[in-house]
Amino acid sequence: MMQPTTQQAAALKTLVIPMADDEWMIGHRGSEWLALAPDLEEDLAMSSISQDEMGHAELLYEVLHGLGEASADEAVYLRGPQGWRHAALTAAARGSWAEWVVRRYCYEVFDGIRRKALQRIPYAPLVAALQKMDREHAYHLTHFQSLVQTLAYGGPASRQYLEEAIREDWPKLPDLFEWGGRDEAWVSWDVAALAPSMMRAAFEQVVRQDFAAWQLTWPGNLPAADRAARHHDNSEFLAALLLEMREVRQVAPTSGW
Amino acid sequence: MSQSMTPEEVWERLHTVPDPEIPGLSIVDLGMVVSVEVDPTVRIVLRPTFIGCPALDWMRAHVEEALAPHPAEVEFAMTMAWSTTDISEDGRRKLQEFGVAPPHTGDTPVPCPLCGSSDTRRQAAFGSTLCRASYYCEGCHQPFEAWKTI
Repeated sequence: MMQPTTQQAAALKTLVIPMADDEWMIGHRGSEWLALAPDLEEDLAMSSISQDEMGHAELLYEVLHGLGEASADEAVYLRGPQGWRHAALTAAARGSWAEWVVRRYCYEVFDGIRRKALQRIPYAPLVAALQKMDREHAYHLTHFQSLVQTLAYGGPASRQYLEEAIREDWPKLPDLFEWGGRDEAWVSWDVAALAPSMMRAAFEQVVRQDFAAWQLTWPGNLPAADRAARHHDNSEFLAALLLEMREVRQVAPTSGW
Repeated sequence: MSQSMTPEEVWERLHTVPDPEIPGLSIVDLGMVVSVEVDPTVRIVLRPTFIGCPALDWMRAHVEEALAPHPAEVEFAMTMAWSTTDISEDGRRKLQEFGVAPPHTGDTPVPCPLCGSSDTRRQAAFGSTLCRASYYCEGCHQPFEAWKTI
């Protein structure tokens, strides 16, 4: 597919906007851990990982720009809350370190499954962008796996702290697997792996295996998400977050990334 | 009117545009220069190493500066693949000389760029910039960084 039809472009946008927004939000929230992470190495790791994620978001916004969407700058700095399609969990306020570790580990597993599914859509600019991201994500996944493992084997208090975090984050995961748009957007590509139920099952398989290896209680299979997943109409929480995120830009409107 | 440049002259000048953190290591050594065209406007296509690298705009400005007073169009092919195997032999040597271990593959320990010892261990998969990881050398008891292999 060299030049997508109007219909194909609309379908692509429905699938790529959620990913771009997830990457942006999780990168933004990750940057908040700088100087707060438990040690200097983690500070550095969060700095690199968050920069990676924001770079990936920017690249995806450029892919979207090629499909007729606004520029990366406009998407990040000018879009109203109702236009964002991230899963709420990626933008959730900073909680405990263990919650962050669980959230990031789950996100990396999910994101790998989603990247693989999206790469089966024959749109060259998207495939190239995703393949370039793959190389960097390998570092992210192993890092968050090792952080979960550190908490799992850090003694009884640490394990309890981790298990509480899993219980806390688990019910918020299902939104990740939804595209937040019309089902035709993914159905039309004839890629079964894009189906929310397929992505959810693939996620459960990986995480169940890891949890078994770390002797963590399996919290139960995930339910399907609400149809309102990834829609943030009239969200005061998101409006406040966007305001804070755009603070520097408001002060210096001509500054670059 | 200034004379047009030859592609060879353009490449020569691109060799003077360094990585902002590693003096002497050029964007050519890094494998970032995809193409150079002179017709007679100079058109240069670069590809990023790590996608979120904050140095890209800095590099673009320095490419323009290196070619001045000849105007140049510098474009980034953002989705074009790049791997650490695209760093030239010269580039690996310059990294080593600067004190950053070049990208390493295989199960053997990363040799210390400072003393050459193989008695090293990785302290963290991440480092002071996107592209580096942190190591410690038991031979010379110094911390060092290595370029991540991607």
